[in-house]
Amino acid sequence: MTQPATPQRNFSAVLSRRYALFLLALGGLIWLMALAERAGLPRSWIGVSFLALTVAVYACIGFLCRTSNEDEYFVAGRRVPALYNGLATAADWMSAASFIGTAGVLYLQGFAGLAYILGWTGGYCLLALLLAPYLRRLGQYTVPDFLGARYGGSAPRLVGAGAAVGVSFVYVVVQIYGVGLITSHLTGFGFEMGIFVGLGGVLVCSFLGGMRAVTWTQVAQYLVLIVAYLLPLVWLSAKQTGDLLPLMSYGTQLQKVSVRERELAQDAAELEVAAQLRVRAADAQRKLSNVRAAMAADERLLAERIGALRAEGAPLVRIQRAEREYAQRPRSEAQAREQYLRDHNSALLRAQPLAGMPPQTLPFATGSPTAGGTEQPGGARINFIALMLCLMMGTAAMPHVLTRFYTTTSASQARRSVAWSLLFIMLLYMAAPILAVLVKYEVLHNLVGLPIDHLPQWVNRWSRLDPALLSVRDINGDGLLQLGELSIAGDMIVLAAPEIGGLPYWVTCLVAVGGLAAALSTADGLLLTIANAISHDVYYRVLNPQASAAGRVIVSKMLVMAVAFLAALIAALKFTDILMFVSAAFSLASAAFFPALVLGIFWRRANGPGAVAGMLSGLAVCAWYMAFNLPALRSLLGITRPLAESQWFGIDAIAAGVFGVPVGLAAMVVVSLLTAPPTQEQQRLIDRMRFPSKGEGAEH
Amino acid sequence: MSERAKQAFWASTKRLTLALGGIWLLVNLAVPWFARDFNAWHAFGVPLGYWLAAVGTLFVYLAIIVVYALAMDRLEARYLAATDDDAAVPPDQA
Repeated sequence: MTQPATPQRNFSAVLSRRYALFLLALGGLIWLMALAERAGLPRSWIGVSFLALTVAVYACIGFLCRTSNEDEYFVAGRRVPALYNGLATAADWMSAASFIGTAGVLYLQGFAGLAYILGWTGGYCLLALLLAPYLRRLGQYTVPDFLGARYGGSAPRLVGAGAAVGVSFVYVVVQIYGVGLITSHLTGFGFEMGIFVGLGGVLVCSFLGGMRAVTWTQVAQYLVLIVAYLLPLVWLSAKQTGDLLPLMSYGTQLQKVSVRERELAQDAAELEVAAQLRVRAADAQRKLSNVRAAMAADERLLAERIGALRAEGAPLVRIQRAEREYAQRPRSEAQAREQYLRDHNSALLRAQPLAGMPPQTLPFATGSPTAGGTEQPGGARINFIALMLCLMMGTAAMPHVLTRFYTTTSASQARRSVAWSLLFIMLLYMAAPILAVLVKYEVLHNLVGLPIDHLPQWVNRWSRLDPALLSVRDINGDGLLQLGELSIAGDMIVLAAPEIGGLPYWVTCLVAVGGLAAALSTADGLLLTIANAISHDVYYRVLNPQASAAGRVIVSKMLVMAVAFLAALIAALKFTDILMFVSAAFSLASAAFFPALVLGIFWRRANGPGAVAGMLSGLAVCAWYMAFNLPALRSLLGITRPLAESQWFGIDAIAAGVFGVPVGLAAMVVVSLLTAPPTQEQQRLIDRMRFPSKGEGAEH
Repeated sequence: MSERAKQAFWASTKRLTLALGGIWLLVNLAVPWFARDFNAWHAFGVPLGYWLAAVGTLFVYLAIIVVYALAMDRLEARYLAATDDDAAVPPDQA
């Protein structure tokens, strides 16, 4: 039972030596790449070797930690020190969306993006206060396992396993999409190729060594991703302000951005672009009324323009841009209709001041063109709070994060570990708003106003890579770039930040490698959660209770493989707006798990039927609300009821969890009270969860 | 094992959880709700409403968790000492 304190302490010492060495090696690698660039090695060579070397290191760690032992495979032997579990949790937690997407959202939406920062950190309070230590003390392998033990019977366990698989799967698809985006950006391989290359890196870890390998790789991946995020940030800040501590000094940049925003909002050329955009929106509206005729007219127009440009001997970039537009014209009527609708919406959005971006520091701008920030906050403020609460409850209820706290040595260590996790996570989330401001400064001060034919290299590179990420059109025909003529997707802000700020190419590679670490580490944790929910909770606990420990590990390994390929196939379909899907996963997780877990710990009377009713009704409300309010799902299901009628209190669909959780709680209370109280055995289990026993707190 | 010690321990655990959870909820509602009003002041050159949501609140979260971890360690040690006087492990080591 009680282990003496010394082996654990020695273990920590060994770990800190190893990871110090790893950090040194990482520094050496970065230095080497900087030298290689100075020596004039080709760019693709630097990108590919940077990527290959880091993935090889993760694979090595995974290989060295390979295991078939059940305790090691499912919960890393339950001897991960609090600090290291904090590092691993931070990597597990910070996904491709956090790394790539957050700063982009803050760039595009300003204050509204801070809901993500608050939601994804504040959730750790719920995790520490309500869940992590209690789950650890009961000491299962998975979250559905906890539900099965606390509520008895197969139903809560199976519903829990289903929800864990569903939520984690949505989330893992997003990670793999991120892997594909980064790998193709870094190496020049195609997107699909990138996905499968990255997948190899994920599989080696979780396949060979389960939680044990994933834990120690995640610690390494955290170190990579945080260095990759902070280094360019500090460099950019030093370049712009001469200050190495951007947290203290970016106020001056923010003020300059705000001043420039006010200038641009009244700039004559910008206003002209906005007027043109409104004309275009009306034009798209007209095309929508007769799509077939509009397609033919468009094709003729584009072809004529290429001819005209050639005839007048226009610069090559302009001809190429026109040719690209011609090549990318819609081929079928459905495609064309979709594009005209998109054109209409994006033109209307960008016709607003600052191309639809609210002023950076103004809370709850509703984006109405005339009000200029004086209107009532109303709906935007409620939505901000709803989204924030939803992300918080989702954070606390994400199965892949909860399982991480099974790996600490005790409940006390689990609590400390949450504190470490939050500290490491904060490092990145405090940096994201700063990065957004520094990039905005570059764009507003150094990019807007340049001649369109002489834009920096990165603009051409990214618009060639994918016009959905970046596109430039001279809308008012003055040959200069206005903010309204530039459309940037949030997903590229972080990846392109070094180029935007004029840093050397190896920094771009470093950022991409960091984004890859973030995506891979999260994908690892998620894959393992899915595979374990199926192998442990469905296969072993329900279908085949006689399965041997080794057999269960093998089933889990096979499932990791299968799920990874399935997720890769779906990710290859390529959808944009990475952050929306993540938020949907959070709403579903919060509705499915939060009530059942929290009431299971804090309310003795909660029982199995109540938990099942709570989980199902919460999920149903969430799914129903999303189906009626998410534009993508509405069109998929053919729902025509007007958006204004289907919204409750004007809350957006991505915050559906704020309805799912209370409904789940209420259903759980009502059904629990109507059915028999928990059994003696379950009562004893609640006691075991709430009260410490001798020995468990001995090893710090 | 004394039932009284158990009840006292769980009551203080709930009190602590409720108090810290209350602070958490208050901060979560107040910071976004009054963000515009806070923006009239500045912290480190950044409008205060923005700064609180981007930086300040995160430190409040961290403080909540640290206080909770330390206080619970103490509560648990006291509980273990009360339920078992000849404990093999001295509470200060826990």
